Amino acid sequence: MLIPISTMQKKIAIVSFVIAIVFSSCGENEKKDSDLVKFDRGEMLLNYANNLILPAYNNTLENINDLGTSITKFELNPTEPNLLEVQLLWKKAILSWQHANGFNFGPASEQGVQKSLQEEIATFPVNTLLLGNFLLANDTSFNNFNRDTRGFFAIEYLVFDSVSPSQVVNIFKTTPNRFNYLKACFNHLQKRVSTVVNGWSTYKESFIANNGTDIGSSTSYLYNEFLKNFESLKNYKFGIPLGLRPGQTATLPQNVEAYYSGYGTALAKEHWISLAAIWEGKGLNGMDGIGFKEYLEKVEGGPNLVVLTKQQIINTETAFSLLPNKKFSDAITADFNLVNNVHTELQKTTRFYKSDLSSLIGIAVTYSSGDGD
Amino acid sequence: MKTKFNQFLFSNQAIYPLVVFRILFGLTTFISTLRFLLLGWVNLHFVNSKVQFKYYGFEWVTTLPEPVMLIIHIIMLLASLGILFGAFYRISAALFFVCFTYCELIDITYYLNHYYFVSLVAFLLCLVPANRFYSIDVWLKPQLSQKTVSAWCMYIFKFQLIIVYFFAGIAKINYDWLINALPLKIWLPANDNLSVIGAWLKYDISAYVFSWAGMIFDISVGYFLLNKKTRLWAWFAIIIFHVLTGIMFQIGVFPLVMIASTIIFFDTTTHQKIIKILRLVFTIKPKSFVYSSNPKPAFFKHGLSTSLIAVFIVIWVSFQLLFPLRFLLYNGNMFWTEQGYRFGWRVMLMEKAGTATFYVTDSATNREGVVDNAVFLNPHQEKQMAMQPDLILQYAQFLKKHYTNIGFNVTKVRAEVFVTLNAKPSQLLINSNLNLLELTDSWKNKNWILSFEKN
Repeated sequence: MLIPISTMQKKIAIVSFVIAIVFSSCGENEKKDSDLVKFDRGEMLLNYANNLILPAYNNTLENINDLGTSITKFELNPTEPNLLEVQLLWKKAILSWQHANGFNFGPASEQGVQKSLQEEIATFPVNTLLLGNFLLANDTSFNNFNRDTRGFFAIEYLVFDSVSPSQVVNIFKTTPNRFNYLKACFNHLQKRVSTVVNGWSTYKESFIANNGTDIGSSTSYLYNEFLKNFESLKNYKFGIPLGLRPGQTATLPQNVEAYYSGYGTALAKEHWISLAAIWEGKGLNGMDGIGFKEYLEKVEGGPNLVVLTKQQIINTETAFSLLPNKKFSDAITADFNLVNNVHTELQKTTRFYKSDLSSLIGIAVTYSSGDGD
Repeated sequence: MKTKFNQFLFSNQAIYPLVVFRILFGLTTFISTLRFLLLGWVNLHFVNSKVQFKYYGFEWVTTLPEPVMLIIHIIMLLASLGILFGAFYRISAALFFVCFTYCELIDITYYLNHYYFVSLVAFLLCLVPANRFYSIDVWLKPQLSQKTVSAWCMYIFKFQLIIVYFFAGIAKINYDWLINALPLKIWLPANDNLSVIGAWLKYDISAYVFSWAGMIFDISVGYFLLNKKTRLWAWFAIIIFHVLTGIMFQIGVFPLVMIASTIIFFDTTTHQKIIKILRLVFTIKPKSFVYSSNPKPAFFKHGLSTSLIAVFIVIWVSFQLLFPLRFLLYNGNMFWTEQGYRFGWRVMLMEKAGTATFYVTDSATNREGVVDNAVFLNPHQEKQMAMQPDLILQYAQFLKKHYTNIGFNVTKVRAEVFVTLNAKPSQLLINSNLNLLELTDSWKNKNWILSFEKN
């Protein structure tokens, strides 16, 4: 407010104040604006922490631990049923990871030479040549930056390998190094995820307390990683394997996620469900809490965007539901259009998740200064 | 008439306000440059970026290797100190102006009105003898000392400051700002976690009060600064206004620049007192303190004739008055097309964001590929590019060059650009089928921008 001093300035201030009140009350009558702006970001962050983030990480860690038990069992007794159990539990673990990979900040963020959790444990495609070299040399030190030779998908490569279970069992029996490498991959995975889970027990409090919208606030971390995660689904799980980048001349089926197990379709679907749940603030147990959707309902222009976004989510779900029930790499070649349709719908979703959402809520997306006033 | 004009510009006035202005400007730019270095922005802005968006007519300005960019910033630090202490003043001011302006010209996505303001002030400082009192230069060469200076040396800065506020105020007189309280209705609730004022920011009424008060403040503050009776209050209002916006918005050193610069409006005695206080902290006593007995106005000493200066001032003032108004010559909604938007003191005026998806066609295979912008642009660059038509063209040209260099025959680049302005549903900025390679940027109307549909 102005500090009125001269009579003239006083007059101006009073007049402007009166005009302001008149206009704002008009606004209230038209749109019930008074209800619009009361939103508690702290409550939203609490919902994300308690009902989405922590359950997702805990669930992933539990499933990883189960996977570990099955691996030990398989090493002691390398039989086909024991391998099938490892495969099954791997699938369960990687599916649960789809619900946690959107929260790649805080304890999961890059620290020193260590990359973010997502990069450390879920890089694909696997560099099988390099992995083969490490395996041959029985090198399980991971003293390198080749994140495409460890993590979930290195384990997948070792226990599926695109061949029949009995063949995989035989390979394990004839190459003992493979057990060593598998265990090393598992230990690395388990350690990384449990570090993040432990990190959250102390980070949670500051996550909820840091309730601004500037860069470095929890809402901005949450939003920016959500967006990055969405882009990675669109670009890395669809765009590149489909050969949609400029300069690509053909599809790259071997670049799909989970190439060796062929579970790419299921993982992409689960990833999409998780992204929609983050937007809605829907917990892992299915309970719909306060999320970006509820935030939008309370801001200028938000309710309209919610309607548009919901419709686009439905359209994308439909495209996903039409994906054929076969290996993702095969689907890309045989049913290109069906897979491409999903990419198209994801593309259409982009603006709703990206500029529209951040603009309406007023979240900072860069560190650089804006124009001052 | 002419003599009156000359009298107005060239009458002798005490040098103190100019000296204080010099000191505060040097201090502000020193802090600002140091901050820039400490935040690691030299790398972020000039070294790590794969693409630089250019200013029209300055396409030849490119970034230099990291060590050189660092050296340039260190030169700027030293030059700021040179201005602050009045040491090798002309060279310092000129160096600062050249280095600072060069850095600003590298990438237009970092354009800020207050950077433009700093460039203008640095240029003007090269022309005035702000080092003729209480400075290292005078300590070294006592005969340089003078207590008076031509009035224009102060007027030109006051004029520039009034221009900044006044145009910022005029720009706020638009339907969205005054009647819908937008974008403040978006920005204020986003700050509701602030202590003391935060709780108030949730209410629509606050957005209206801030919108109207901001407009009235910007338009009138120049007048109140010129008026002796209201000056002190106006300056207090400036402090409150800038501190408040500085807390709420991510606007860097801008509040500091404006609070410090506007001190020039105070009268001679105030500035004399400021220098007296400064002397307590930092004394410069020439060994033989001799004021030149007959202080001639500075311009004589530098061989500049009064008429040359008068002509320069007329050109400068006309340009500053007219250039921000060039938007009137363009079609369409200025906020939407951004034609004539920059260099017009339009600050924190709209909430705008876009999603731009680019498609590149290779004639050999006739395949159309979709670009992942994150491969080439940092989030800031992408954000700026995605809503500004001229930058969209530049990016299309960059993509053509990039893919041609790696062996493709690029015949078409098109973009689907959805932009939201002040919380309105996003809509297409340009025709998505347009081959952007067939367009060139110019001062002419960009008829290829689609018109903005309200609702």
